[in-house]
Amino acid sequence: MRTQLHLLLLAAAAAAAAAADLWPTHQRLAPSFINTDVARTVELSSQAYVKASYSIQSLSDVDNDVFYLTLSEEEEKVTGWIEAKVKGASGGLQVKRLGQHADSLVYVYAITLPKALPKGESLTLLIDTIESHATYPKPAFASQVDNHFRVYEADGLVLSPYETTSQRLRIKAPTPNIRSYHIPPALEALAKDEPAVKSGATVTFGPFKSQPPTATKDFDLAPYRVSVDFEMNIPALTVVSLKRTAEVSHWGANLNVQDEYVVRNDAPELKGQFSRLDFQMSQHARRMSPVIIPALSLSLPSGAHSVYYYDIVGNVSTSVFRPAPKAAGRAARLSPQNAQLDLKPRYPLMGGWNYTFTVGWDAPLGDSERWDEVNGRWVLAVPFLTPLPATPIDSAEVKIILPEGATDITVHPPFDVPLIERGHHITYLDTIGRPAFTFHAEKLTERHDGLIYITYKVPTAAHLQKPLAVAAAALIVFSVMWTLKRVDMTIKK
Amino acid sequence: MTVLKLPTFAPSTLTNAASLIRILALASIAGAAISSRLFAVINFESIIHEFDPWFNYRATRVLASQGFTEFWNWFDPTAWYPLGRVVGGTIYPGLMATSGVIYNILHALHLPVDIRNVCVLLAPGFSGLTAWATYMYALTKELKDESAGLLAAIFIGIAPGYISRSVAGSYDNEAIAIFLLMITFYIWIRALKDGSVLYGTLAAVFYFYMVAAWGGYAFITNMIPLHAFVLLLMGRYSDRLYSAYSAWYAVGTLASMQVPFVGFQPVQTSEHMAALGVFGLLQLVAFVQTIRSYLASKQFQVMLQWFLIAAGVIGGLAIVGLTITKTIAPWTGRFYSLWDTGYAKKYIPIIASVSEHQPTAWPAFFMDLHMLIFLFPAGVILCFKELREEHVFVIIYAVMASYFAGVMVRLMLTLTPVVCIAAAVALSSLLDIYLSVEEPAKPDSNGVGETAPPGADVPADATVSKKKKKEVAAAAAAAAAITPATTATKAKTKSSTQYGIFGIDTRLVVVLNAIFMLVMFVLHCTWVTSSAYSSPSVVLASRRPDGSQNIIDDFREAYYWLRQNTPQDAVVMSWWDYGYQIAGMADRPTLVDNNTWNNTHIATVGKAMSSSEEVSYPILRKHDVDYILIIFGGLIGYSGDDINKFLWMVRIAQGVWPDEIKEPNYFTARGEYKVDDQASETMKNSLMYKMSYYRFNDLFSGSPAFDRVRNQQLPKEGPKLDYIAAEEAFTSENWIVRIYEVKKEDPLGRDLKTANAFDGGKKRKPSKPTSRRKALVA
Repeated sequence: MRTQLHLLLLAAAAAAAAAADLWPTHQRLAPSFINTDVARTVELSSQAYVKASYSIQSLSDVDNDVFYLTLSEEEEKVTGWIEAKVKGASGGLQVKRLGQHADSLVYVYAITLPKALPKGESLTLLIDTIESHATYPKPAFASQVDNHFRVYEADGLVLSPYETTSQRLRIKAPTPNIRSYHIPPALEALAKDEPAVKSGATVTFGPFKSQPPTATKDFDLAPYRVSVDFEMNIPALTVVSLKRTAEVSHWGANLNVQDEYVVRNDAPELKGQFSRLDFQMSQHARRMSPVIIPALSLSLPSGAHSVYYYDIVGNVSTSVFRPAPKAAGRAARLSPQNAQLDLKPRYPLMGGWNYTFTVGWDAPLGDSERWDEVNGRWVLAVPFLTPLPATPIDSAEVKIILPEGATDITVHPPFDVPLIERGHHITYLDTIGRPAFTFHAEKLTERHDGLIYITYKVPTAAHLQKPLAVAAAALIVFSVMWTLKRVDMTIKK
Repeated sequence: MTVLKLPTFAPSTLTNAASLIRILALASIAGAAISSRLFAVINFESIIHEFDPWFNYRATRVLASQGFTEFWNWFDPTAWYPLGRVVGGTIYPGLMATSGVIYNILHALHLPVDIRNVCVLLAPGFSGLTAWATYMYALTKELKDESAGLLAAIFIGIAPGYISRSVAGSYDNEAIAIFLLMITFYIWIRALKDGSVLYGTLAAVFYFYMVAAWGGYAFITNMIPLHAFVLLLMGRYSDRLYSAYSAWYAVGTLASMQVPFVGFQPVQTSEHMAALGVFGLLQLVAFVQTIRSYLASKQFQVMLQWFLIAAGVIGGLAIVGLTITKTIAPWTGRFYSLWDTGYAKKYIPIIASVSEHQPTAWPAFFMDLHMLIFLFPAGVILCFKELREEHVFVIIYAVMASYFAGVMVRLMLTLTPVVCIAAAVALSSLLDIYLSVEEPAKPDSNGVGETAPPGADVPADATVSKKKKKEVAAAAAAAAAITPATTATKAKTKSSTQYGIFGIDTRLVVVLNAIFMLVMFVLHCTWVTSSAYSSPSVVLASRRPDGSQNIIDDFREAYYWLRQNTPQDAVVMSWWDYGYQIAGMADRPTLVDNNTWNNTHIATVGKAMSSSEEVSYPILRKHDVDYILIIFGGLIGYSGDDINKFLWMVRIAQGVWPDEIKEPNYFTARGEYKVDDQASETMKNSLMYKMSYYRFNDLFSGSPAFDRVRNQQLPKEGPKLDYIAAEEAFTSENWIVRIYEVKKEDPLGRDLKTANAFDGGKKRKPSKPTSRRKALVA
């Protein structure tokens, strides 16, 4: 997953990423496997967590080490995170997005198996995906005290370039209160026995009869959509945009991180008005609707200090920062507890309401940077984002600012980032500005919190640049004043 | 003779040490002035305070982000909806330009300071400069000596009267205006004393800056001519006066006309006529002086008489004629209200409704100036002792500013500098006498009382500079003047009485007393500043039972809600006090704001607030109002709320629609202003009353609702609002801000009352048709 990118290659890599979006037509998806059993389980929460297990059997002997996962247009739109592993093995498999297949219009992901699978042998792949915005509220408006319902729709049949012998889909709602579920007649006809069963909070569709490859041009998935209409008691927060800026200071031995959030409550929009009275009464009676978001909790690195949180009109005075407990000993050092920021927006976030805020903190540089003795370089590791539990992030922009004069820089993002820009940033008393890298990504989930690694060198001269510049400026000011003081400019009479 | 033997130093060492100490003292005074204004930042945060500063801040942001030309041409369509406001031509841009320049310089130096912090810290920064300017003003050459200057700088640095307008975050014109006032006066005195055209022009440049920064520039426009005029009357005309005044007036007036908001006022309005008149008078006097040098005295007398009479008559007729033909605008209402404190209340309620335009209460003088207020007269009297030109200026300034400070609370600000200077002169004279080690020779030592001529027979005193000695002598004379009664009685008992202070104990008593007073002054200033003048008023603080600070942040909560969750072009109606804050924090169009230029528009809002829903609704719809924002303090006892301001709304509306809105209707039969059961029907039906108390009763679950501001119990039945005009959209945590959304017309064309009843599932009452018929008959 981690690709090493050298500076010079950055632009080329970005261009390649864009070009790779279309999977060339001539490349056929060879039916080199057969899905003996596919079991998909969807856990519905603020996002849909899809855990699929593919039991596959190899049909070919020739280097059969790539399994193609295909997603339909709808799935591709909502899928933010894909990871795969072999059942029973530790360590993930490489998942590479190949883009849209020009012929069948499906989106193709290549999963590289640990080793080629000889003909006839089988394997179980566990593929986890996270779908954001995969549910929609129904009705779209609800009052402050109503229960909220959402609808989840999914393809009843799995989309695959391989023949699927048996498959089934289970959908788990957060509560047993499922208003209805729907299975189209076309799919019903394919069921081996009972087409759909609801037990408790789970609806099971299938198992279904054997299917030929579905990821083809002729196959239409639309008649096979199933849906579940369920009660939602989990807040559905969305980070519409996140802008992170991380600034390294070697002089201050400090890493400053600042996050600018734009958030929205994706619960059904508030119908009519917000009544403070009703809100306060439900708060007192502890009967507050669970989809109202009165506060957010952010966990910050253990060393975080000088935390600030504000929005456009000033400090969010309603919030509280709780620093990490100062535990001593080895255990505490090995697994330090996080600091906690209880960010209470100025007003409770009702359905459809927006809020923006900025959170920033300082942390010791030693916590996120090491000196690589062997190569004589600094290695910096900054998390791509601070995950908010179960919250999709629609777009993110992460800017990392290196010290002034840093050279010989390499950048290693934690996942394929579509666009990386090199810029430059001028801040307090800089003379030439600092190198800065901006990573642009969309459709992120809480799993995209991997570390961005950046390595660089800083010559000693660059360290001294700022004090020398300030000293020189001060010297010039003083000498000018000194001279002026001693020059007599009066006109003698 | 001396009381104490002082160590001796070389004169150059003393000069150097004195200059170093002076610089250090000035630096620490500036530091104290700045840091004492930071209470608001430390207790709360770096935030813009109150109301007007929010507009200034918003304008500065436009200036910083879009450049000066854009700012100059800025038309703000969101203010005074739907009229809009030509901002560039209706403001004093000096404050914003200053911040903009500072901002750009800092950024050019690669110091990326946020524009908000520049704005917040501008006032404290300029207060440091004010301390310096005051020091310069009260300097040796100008008024007394350096110690008086330093004292004056300390006083102005921490006097609450000035701090009240210049704490961090109080980003208003006054923040830089007091500095400009002091520096202009200082340079004027310099120009006058040197007869320097250069300094006169420099005074004009700062005068221009002042004109660009504050409407109070009229104070300078009248103070300097008055000073010149008084000097003329005292027979102190000199070529220095002529050149200084002419340079200042000519350049200053031309420069001030470059500010669009001022425009041709300097030659057209009555407030500026004094300056023009004195300018003309000076020309005449100068002319006469010139002629006198060529003519014999007899002829001159005759000529002078005729000349003066003719000039006076022609000049007077010209001014009267121009006033009648309206070329010169008559005095404005604001001006009249300076002479008659009841004037504004009668004719211009908008001006009278502003709290800072009220007459000053007596305790305010002590609160704002503490001990300075009783040192002040002493200082002014000491000015009479010397009565050079600058002393005359201080005396005039003291008289004028005292009067104005008594009329209007906000003009306390212009009084403060002169009080500080006069008090510094008084205190430093006192200290000069009692800190001097000189002691008169004892009368019994050689029989004849002889004051030791300073420095004549004391070799150790050689170090004291000559100037200093002169001052000591002068100060001793002053001291004698201070205690004439005691010395007079002594003089009677002894023929050869010896004046002076003997021994070290007398000195200690007085000096320790002075120090005690100074300490009390500092404590008082700190206390007043921290407790009274450092509240941003956007954020309120209260104490929890355990003593910790609880922040009430309802305003920002509601404004931010508006900003985030309403359409960008939603029009918000509120009373004008909150216009600037809504524009600044919520970024939404407002009907009226703190720039109260259109009385009718404000009266319209007043009418909408004070009428019944049926009357208000068409007004609201005609003005495209989407949201109505009101302030209600009844739940937590916030007294500055809209119900308490309500009578002003009524009065202002009454001024425009005397037939529809009548103030007495809002009082009870016994003439009381009440919100409880006895409140009048008009009051209870007014939109403001309904919006304030809508569903307030429900909060008390059964027991009668209680308004904590007015300490009254509300009627059992709360007002019903969900009929016609609006429905609750948002209420802040402590109910201070309540926002209502105005209903749109019913899509089926029914009137809203019927539609609402239909939605509520109510049957049409059978009585309705009959009532209709009745209405038809009637």
